[in-house]
Amino acid sequence: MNSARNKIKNHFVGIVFYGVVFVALIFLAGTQKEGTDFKNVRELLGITQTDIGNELDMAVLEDAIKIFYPRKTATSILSALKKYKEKVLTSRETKSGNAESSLNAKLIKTILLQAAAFFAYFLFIAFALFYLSESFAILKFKSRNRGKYSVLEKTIELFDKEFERKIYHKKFPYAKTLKVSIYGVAKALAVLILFSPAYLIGYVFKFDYGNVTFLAYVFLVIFTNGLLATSVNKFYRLLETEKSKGYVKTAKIKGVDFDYKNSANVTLLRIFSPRKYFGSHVLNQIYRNAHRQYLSAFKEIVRFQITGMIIVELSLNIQNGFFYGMLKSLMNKQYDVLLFVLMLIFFAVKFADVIADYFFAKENAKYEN
Amino acid sequence: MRIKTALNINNSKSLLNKVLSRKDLRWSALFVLGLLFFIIWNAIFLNDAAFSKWLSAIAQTYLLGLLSVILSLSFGWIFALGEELLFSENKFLNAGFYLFIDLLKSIPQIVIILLGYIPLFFYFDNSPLVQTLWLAFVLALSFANDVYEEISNRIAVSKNYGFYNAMLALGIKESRIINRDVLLLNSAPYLINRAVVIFASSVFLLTSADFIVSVGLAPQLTLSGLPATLGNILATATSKEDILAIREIFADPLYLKELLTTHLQGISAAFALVFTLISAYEISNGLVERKKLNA
Amino acid sequence: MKFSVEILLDDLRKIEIRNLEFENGKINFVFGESGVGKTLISQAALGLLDEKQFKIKINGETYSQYLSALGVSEMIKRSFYVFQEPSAHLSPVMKISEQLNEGKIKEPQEKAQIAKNIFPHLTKKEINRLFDVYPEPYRPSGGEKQRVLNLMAFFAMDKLSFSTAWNSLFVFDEPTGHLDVPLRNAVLSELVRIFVKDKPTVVFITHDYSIVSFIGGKFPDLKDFFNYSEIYADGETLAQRKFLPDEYLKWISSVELLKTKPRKTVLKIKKRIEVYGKTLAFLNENKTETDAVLREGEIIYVKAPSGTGKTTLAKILLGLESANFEAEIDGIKLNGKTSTRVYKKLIYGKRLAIAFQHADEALNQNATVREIFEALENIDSGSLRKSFELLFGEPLENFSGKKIKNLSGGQKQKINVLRALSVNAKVTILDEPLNGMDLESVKRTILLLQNHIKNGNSIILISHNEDVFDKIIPNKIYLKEV
Repeated sequence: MNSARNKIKNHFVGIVFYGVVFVALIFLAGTQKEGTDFKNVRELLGITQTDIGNELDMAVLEDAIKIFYPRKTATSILSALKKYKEKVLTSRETKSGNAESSLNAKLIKTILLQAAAFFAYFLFIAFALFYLSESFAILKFKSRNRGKYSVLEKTIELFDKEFERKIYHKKFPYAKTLKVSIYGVAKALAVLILFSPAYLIGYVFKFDYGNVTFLAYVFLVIFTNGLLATSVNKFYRLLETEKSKGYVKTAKIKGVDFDYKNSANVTLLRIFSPRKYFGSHVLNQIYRNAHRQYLSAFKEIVRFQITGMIIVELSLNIQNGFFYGMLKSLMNKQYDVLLFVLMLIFFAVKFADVIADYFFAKENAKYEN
Repeated sequence: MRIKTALNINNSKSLLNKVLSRKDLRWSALFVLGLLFFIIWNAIFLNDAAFSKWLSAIAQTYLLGLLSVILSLSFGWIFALGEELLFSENKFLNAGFYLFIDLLKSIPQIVIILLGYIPLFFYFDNSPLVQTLWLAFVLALSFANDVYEEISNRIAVSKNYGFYNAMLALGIKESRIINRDVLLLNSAPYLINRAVVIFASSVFLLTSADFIVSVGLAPQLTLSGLPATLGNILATATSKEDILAIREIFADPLYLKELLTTHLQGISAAFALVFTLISAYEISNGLVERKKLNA
Repeated sequence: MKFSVEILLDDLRKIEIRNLEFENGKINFVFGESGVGKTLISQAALGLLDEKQFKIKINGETYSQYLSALGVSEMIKRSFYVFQEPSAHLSPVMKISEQLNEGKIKEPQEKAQIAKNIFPHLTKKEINRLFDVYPEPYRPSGGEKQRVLNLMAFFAMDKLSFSTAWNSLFVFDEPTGHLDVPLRNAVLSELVRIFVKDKPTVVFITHDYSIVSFIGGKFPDLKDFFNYSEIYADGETLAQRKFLPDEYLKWISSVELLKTKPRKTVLKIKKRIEVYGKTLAFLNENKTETDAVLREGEIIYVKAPSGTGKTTLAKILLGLESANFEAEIDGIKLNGKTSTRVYKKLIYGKRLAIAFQHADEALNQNATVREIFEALENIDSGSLRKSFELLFGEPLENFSGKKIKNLSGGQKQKINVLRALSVNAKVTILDEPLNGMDLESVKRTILLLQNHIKNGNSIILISHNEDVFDKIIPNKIYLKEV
């Protein structure tokens, strides 16, 4: 309990420290809107009365610089000039961005609202992911412990049957082949979706530009980018590790229920129930032990979930999203806005950490004497 | 010969048996063969310009992935060693180090990478080498914490239940214990597994970040010096159409032929990416199972 | 009951034994080095191994054939297994009382009596309180958890009925390793008491030869129901041979005190130590508090009831456990605030060295024997070679390329002890140095200790093996919680 409290305390130290750092940086970025690095270039443009958008003017200026300056100096001036040109052109093109260049009360309010929406989505998805990953992992665990095996092994078995058939002149197992093929294709499709980046699936299903409903968004975050696959795998691994521990052997020799095939304790309904309970079956102990560790392992998954949410939002151009604003400020070099958004992201992750640690501590407290 | 027996025999020394019976090796072989197959297929069906663009994108993506693996392993190693031998003796260094790690792990990786683009857009020269190295550095930074946690976790395990203190109390140098006994002799499979995961994640994140930037708000800000990655290719209009065409297959399964020939650019870029991710996942899983790595 | 077992481990090592015999209706004491494969073989017999992990053949049949045979599946229903690591074998998410009340051990007749007998120091209320908790890493203690596991086996033995129609097999795998001698004896006595009622087949695996003295002395009438054997490595395979208790008893009565020539004081520990809110005190033979003093060329035997913190004492001296204490070793003062830098620079390997009690944990399993010794600085390779040959009866070269994990438990322990002694620190702490060794190794290790102190080095010895150490060490000190 003490270590959990320490952890949560440390989170708050981090939040306060970086809160102060971010606020200071935001003010600093706000006051130093324009850097000094282009001072020389601007003076040069002023003297020669060159229009930076005019290609001819620029070509003349470049030639002049090459003649008047030593080669090294000329190169550095030219590259500064090029960057300045890019910068000016960019801000000309993204006028809207330029107009609200500084962090004002209205912008802060908008960003905060977006952040709140993001966080609500985030929590919803995190809980859904937690539930789904545990349920699917138990399902996989159950089927592996019933002696069911992978597509590869099933195919091999078929080939082996074929081998036997040749020896004993038996009938070819058409029905089984068909079953394995359908299963194989379905699994391949599922794997392709689970490991595809969200934007590929988004394209295929035409979720794009304002076409992304809440459900589609949640679907993409959870089921693509490998998020569900890795989190199911994580929990499945925990179950497997627990299975090989000593207490399971003790339970076995005690004659506790080990039947994964027919036991009424490990039905589909129980596996997908939000409150998982497997009665006197050994899975109950395995699950509880794994569940306890998964709560802290889930923090890593949560970070990846946020990455997934950002990818879905940015790659599918969901306007008015929290991160869309971040990317816009990044492109427009509105560093104060960017820092403000970064600060909120930092807080969000920290808050998620605190929640995970809280649940972990709460779950562990159950088993403390 | 029965395949089943071939897959199950562990004590046979034949290389083929070894590769077939170990999932990690099986998938590594499959990955290499699959990649070769794509290259040959694309060499046949893509036009020369598109093919060389595709090939260079794959090379650039993998190169960045590899660099990111090497750098992040180095960063993680330096952090863990520094924590163990240096920072813990000085309160301020220690606090500074933890705050730094705290920041690093509280900013989502994709955000770190997107932030890493700022200097590329606005402040760096267009030298491909500098840009590639910078991008690899940023990628590695976003994974450094994972490696650091892995290594310090390994050290903690050997401290709590193992030989670390037993060796320390005999006067053996700590740096030797960590580098040789903990890392080299006891953590190689963990680090290899970590490297595989980082490679795949780097490829995925880099592709996604490039995709976001290319398709996103400011197409005028493309990086002129840097070779394109899979993400840049996926963001092109042609690729997008290719991928949209996948839907046709639901109406007409025979459309697959068109997908694999005329729509090849987008499909092959997408598939190369997904194939890399799946292979890495299976290799890592196989390694975890075979070496019984703790979850 | 006869078993021929072949187990192929995934790193291609093979454990094989032919015609392993346990006599029906008797308590079969099986001695031998730990780690040669006794555990795996007996777990295989009771269907406790994972077929995916090992390739197993028993009595010429595949594992699943063996397990599905009617005789075997019925036997397993009438069997039990007490595992050796108590912490890992209790589920952390179920209260002990719940774990004592499921499956075949539910509701035995003599529940309260059996519990009382193996927790002799606790009242009924205290026992109930002990069972009303979840097992945590350090609470209940290792000794308490170990007794809980024994309790399960006794419950099963008490509850099941044994007829001649089906075999039964109760395996106790080093079931007293975490107990001091009085508690070990309590468990043994209880085992014999319950066994006598129905006489199921019991296998008691141990490397604690001193059990022989106790059993022989306490139950002379039941002599015919005890069977002693030893499992040993015979080339690549394992073999079983008869063990004669009288030979051991003869040896133990003949061992002599180690010869010491104490010189000036090298270590002094102030009489009281505070750790985790507990206060520990050193007592001399007259039970009065005293400072612990160790002189050059001397060996001192630290005795304490189990769970008092003998190992903790070692860790405190090494600065690995925070405590309030004062000590002086060869001119360097140590206390709870001594910085790790001082330890690393002046203490470790120079003034203090240690062999921790579990060789499995103390040695890097993936290192070779050569690497284990190479890591040490400034050791005299000539004397290392000599000591190695003394301990193993074979030259170091025969072992140097072998990985630690491929050695038997006894071999590991010998390397663990030899490593600590060969850094030639002023004082070496040996924590249960005979753990897992067979009798031959025990004898050789005693010779090594004699050589070490002859050279003017000192040893602090921590052990509950009183049978041997009471005989050979004149200088004793007691550790007690006050």
